Amino acid sequence: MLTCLNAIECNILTIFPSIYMKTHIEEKLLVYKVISKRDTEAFAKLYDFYIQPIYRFVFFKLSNREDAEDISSEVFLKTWDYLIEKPRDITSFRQLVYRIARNRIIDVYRERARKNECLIDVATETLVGNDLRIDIEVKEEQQDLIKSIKKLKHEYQEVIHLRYIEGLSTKDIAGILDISATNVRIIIYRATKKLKEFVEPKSPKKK
Amino acid sequence: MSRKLVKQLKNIKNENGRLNPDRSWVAQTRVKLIEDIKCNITNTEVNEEMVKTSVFDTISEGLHVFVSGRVLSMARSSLTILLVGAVAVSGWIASVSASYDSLPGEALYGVKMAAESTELLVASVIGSDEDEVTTILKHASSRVDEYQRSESTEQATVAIKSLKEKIESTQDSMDKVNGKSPEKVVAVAKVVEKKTSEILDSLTEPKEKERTIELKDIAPEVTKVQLKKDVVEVEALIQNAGIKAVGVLVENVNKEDVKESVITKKEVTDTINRRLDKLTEGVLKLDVTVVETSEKASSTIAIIKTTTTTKNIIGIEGAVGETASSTEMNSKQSTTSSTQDIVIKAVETEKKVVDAEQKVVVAEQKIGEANKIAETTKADVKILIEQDNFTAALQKIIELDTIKTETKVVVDEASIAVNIVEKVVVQDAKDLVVQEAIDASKINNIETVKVSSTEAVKIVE
Repeated sequence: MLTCLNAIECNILTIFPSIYMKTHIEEKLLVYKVISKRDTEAFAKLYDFYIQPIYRFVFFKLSNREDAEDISSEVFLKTWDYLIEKPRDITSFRQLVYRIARNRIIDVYRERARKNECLIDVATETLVGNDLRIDIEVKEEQQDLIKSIKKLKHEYQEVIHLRYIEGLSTKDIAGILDISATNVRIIIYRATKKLKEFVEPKSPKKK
Repeated sequence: MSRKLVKQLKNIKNENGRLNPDRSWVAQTRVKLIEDIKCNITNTEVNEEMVKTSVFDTISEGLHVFVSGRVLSMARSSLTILLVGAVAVSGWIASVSASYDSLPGEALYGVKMAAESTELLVASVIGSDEDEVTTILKHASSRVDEYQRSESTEQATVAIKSLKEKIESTQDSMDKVNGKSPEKVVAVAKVVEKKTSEILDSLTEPKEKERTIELKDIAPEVTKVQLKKDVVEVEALIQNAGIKAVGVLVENVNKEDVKESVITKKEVTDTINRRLDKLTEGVLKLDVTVVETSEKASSTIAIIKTTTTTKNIIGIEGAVGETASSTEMNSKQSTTSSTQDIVIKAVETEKKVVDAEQKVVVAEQKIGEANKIAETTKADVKILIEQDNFTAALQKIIELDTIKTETKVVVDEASIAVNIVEKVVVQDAKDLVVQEAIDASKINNIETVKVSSTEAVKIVE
């Protein structure tokens, strides 16, 4: 029952984010409160809005629940520090929080590579093979889609996730990846083309 | 991408519960995060006593949060330009017009300087390189005007120093624009060539007012001499800037890739001829100065001769004094000693006159050579221009300019020496006459008074 309620809550949050963050201005106002008054309540609201997308982003890349949880909580603590220390460097809270998450993920990749614990390719298998397949009931179609995404190179996975799963704008993605918007559009185009190649041969039409 | 695929991708986060975090974990992390942050804030407060932010900081932070960086920087730039423009316009209306005629050291001179800085800033931000150089040279012209209208050596020194800075920044601007397109380089060079020529003309032709001012100026002679040296230095700087600009024009006219619309051979020919004319004219003016100095030296020698006559009179009068009474003897002794001092002084002055005379002779020789070189250069440059050899023609002009500068130094030295000696000699002669009159009154020698009066009239004449 509780799991069911959790799922509903999550869905409401993701489908109707305006429930928590009615407008973009409201987000700016909260950031302003954090910067000027060090308002923890305002930051808590920002956390409420962004914890799920960030968790998804981290989990999608690390494919490990514990790691995703640790990294996600770290990301918000770092975000707070950044807001307080360098308030003038912030152009967009959304871009900032994703950028911090992305940098932290890169650190984890490096650590893993150094320890030879889990290579990136293996992590792909872990995401689909362990947590997603065993713990949760996932539709076969979506499982295949995730598998296909995971076959893409990391740059393509990132843009597909940010653009289609999280629904971010090209401008935001450009800010997160620190590249131009035109470049993002090109990467999205190539990524979707590649994804189609992986997905469509299995589609009924092709068959 | 197909709609179906997009829909599937969107649904991943909705239907795949595992991709989303556990609700209890979210809540626990929230509580822990806020606790950590609060603890962090408390530590910061204890350690740093919370840095107090001003209202402006708060507004600034707010702007940074609500307005994107790019928009903010654009708005800031626009606002700056607007304010600078507003200041420039309002400043001009309110006080710049009033301060336009002000001189260094006067109350409104600061306003004038501020207005000029603003004008230069606006020109450098909004205008082209050409506009910037034009503005700098316009301000240089103002400095020359101030120098000419200056009422003291101090004011003139300030104006000349500022003029020097302006010319130096003109040269910097020329260097800065050097790597840019030929159109820009030539445009700037044309402006510099034209304006420096005008400035040099204004600087070398002092107004009549300056002569009257010299009389009431109380500045020490050393300062005045230094000012003259500074003026010579600035003149050389201006001349160099102008010649450098001509060099740029010559360089570009010789380039094949530079179009005729940018610079033509005729323009360069005209420029070189104009420069040459100015230089020969300058040499001629120096010649006139040498003649004037020579005449002045002659008149100074005449005064020396007069004082020598007076000395002789003193000698005769000394002999007459020997037959006077004991009371008269006492007064006679004192008068003889004072007149002797004057005589010694006059001898020293005579030596100075000889030195000055020698300088005049050197100047006369130098100007003679300069005249000859100027004539030769004129002929050579004409031939070189006909051959389209602008570089060699310019080289000839540079050589003549060097000769002219050297000659000017010699002529100025002679002129300064003669001026100083003339003042000293006139003063000595005056002192001598006055002393003689005093002595005469003391010994009641009517004859001597008559002679002294005659000498006094002569000197005054």
